Amino acid sequence: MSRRISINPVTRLEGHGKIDIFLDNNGDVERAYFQVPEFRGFEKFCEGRAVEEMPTLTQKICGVCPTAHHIASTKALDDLFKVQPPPAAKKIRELLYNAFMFEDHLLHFYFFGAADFVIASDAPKAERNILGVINKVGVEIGRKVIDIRKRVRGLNAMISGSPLYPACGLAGGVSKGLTENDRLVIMDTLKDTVEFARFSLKLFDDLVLKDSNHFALINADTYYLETYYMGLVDENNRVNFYEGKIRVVSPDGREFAKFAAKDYLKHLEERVEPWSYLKLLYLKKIGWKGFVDGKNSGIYRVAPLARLNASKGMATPLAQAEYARMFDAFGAKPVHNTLAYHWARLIEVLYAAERMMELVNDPILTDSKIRNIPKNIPGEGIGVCEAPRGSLIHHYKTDEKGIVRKVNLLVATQNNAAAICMSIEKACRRLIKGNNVSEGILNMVEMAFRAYDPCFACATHSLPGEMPLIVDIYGSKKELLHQIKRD
Amino acid sequence: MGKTLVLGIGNTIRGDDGVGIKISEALKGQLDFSAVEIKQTHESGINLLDKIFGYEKVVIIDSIQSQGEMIGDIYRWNLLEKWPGASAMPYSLHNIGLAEILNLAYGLIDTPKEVIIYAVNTGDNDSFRDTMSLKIKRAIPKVVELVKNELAS
Repeated sequence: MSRRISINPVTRLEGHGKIDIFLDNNGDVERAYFQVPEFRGFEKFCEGRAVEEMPTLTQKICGVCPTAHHIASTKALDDLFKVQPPPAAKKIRELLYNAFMFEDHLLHFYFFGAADFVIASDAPKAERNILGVINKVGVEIGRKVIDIRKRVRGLNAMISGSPLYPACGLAGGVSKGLTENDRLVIMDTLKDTVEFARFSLKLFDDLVLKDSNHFALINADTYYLETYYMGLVDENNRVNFYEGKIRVVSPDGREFAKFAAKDYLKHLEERVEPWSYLKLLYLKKIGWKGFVDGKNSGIYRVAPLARLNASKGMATPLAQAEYARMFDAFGAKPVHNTLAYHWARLIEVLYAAERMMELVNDPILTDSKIRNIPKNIPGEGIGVCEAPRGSLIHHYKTDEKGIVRKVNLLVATQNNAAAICMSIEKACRRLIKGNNVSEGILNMVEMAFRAYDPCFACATHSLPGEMPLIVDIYGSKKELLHQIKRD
Repeated sequence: MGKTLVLGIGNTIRGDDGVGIKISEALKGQLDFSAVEIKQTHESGINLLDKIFGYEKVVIIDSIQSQGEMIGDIYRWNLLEKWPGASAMPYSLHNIGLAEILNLAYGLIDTPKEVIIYAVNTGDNDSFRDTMSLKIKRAIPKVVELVKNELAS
C-alpha cells in the first residue's frame, strides 16, 4: 500500500495550493498531484455586466498582476468595438505595461529567485525568508530594490490612476494623456532602471553562474522538462509583452505555430482534472497525452524562459546581448532547464527597462490624440498580452448593447499548470527516496515551481490574497506523519 | 513625510472587510496632521511595504476573523511587545503577509520602530457587498476614539 504525502495550506485565505505526494512501499514517489482547491469564477459572474467595466473588474482577479488583466481586457475591448487606439495611446499603454513588468519581475528575483541560490535548502526557517535573502545580497541592495520599485509603481499611478489597479484603459485608447512635464518626470524616474537591471544580471552572474554548484543545480535533471514553448512576438519574432502574434516552438526549437490571438481556440484546449479547479491548457493539434513531456505531448510552457525560447531575440540591444549569452551558456536553444526561468526573468527586466527608455523618448508619447471613439456595435473581442507569468488571453462576447454574455479567460499560470505539476512530480521522484522527507528536500521541491512564479489567484480567477502551502506527509495507512507549513 | 502613519486596510466591496477603511476615513479631520498621516489601502502583501516604508510609528487598522470570538470585538496589539517572526520563505508574491513586510521594512531601514494594530473581529469579509453588518458599524466610533487616545498619549 502506498504512502501519501500531502502539501496543504492552512491559513485563512481564499486562494491556496495543495500538493499531494504518494509514496510506494519502498518510500519512493509513486505520484504527485498539484491541486488548487479554490474557485471564484470571474468567467461566470462577469456575465450580465457592461463590457466597459471589464478592465477594472477583471484586474481584481489578482492583487499582484492586475495591470496584465487590465491591458488584456482593454485590448479585448478594442477588438470588440473594432476600434484602433491612436499611436500615443498605444505607447502610453505599453509604457505602463513595461513599467509593471519591470517591477514585478525585479521583485520576484530578489525576494524569491535569489533565495533558491543564496540560502541553503536545509537552512532553518528563520533564515529562509525575505530578510534572509536581503541579508545575503546586501541591505543596500534590498533598499535599492524597494526604492526603485516604489518609484516605478509611482509612475504607474501617474499614468493609470493607481499603482495597483489601473483605471486608464478604454476601448480605443486611454483616459489620460501625458504632458511634456509628465514625460520629464517619467524620464527622471527611469534614469537608473537600465543600470539596475544590468546590475541585477551581474549579481546573478556572480551568485549563481560563477558558482559551479549553483550552475550544476540549474542543469540538474531534477529540474529539466522538454516541452513546447509559447510567447508573444513582434513581426521579427522578437519578444514583445504588449502586442504581436503568439508563437509556439517545439522542444527541438522549430516553429510549430504562429497565430493571431483571435485564432487561439484553434490551437489551445482546456482540460479539467477532477482533483483541481485549475484548468490545464495544452496544444490542440498535438493532443493531451497525460503528464509527460516531449514532442508528442501537447504540454507547453509560458513566461520568461518560454518567451525567450519561443522568440528569435530581444528587441533592445542590451537585452539581446544577454539573450545571446544565456543560450550560449547552455549551448542549446530551447533551454529546457526550469531554474533558468530566473535568468530569463532578469533578461526581461533589462528589456523592459530599455523599452521604457525608448518609449519615454518617443515624441508621439505626449501627443494629445489619445482615443478613437468606438462607433461599431460590439459583438466579440479577444485581447492578448504577456503577463509576468505567461500569455494572458481575454475573450468576451456581448449582445448589441455591450452587455457581457460570455467570458473566457486563459490566464498565464493556466498555461504552465500542467508543466508545474510535472516539475513538482519530477523533483519529488528525484529527491524523495526511501521515506526520506526533510524540510530541505521539500524546499527543493518548492524550487521546482517557484521558478514559474505561479499565480493561483489568476489561474482559478479567485480573489486576490495570499497563497499558503502546507506539506502533509502520510504513512502507508494514510496516517498523518509530518506536516510542514508555508503560511 | 510625517513620522506616524495611520493605515486603514480593507476592501469596501467585501462587506465587513471594509471596516479598516471606514475607521480611517472617520479619523480624518480629527487628528493633528502635522504629526500624523492617514492613508487607506486595499492592497496586501508586498505592496504594503510601499505604504509603511519610512515611518517611525505605524497604526494599522484592519478586520480579522477570529473563530469563537464575538463579532465586533476590538483587539489591540503592540508589536513592540511581541515582534512577529517572519515565516519560512514564501513561494510566491501572493504569499507575503504583514509579518514579512514588517520584518523587511525593519531590517532594511530600521523603521517602523513601533507598530500598533487595531483589529475588529468580523463574521463575513468574503461576500461581495458594499454594506457592513450592524455590529461592525457600531465598532467604528469605538476604534476611532481608541486611536485618537493612542496618538494623543
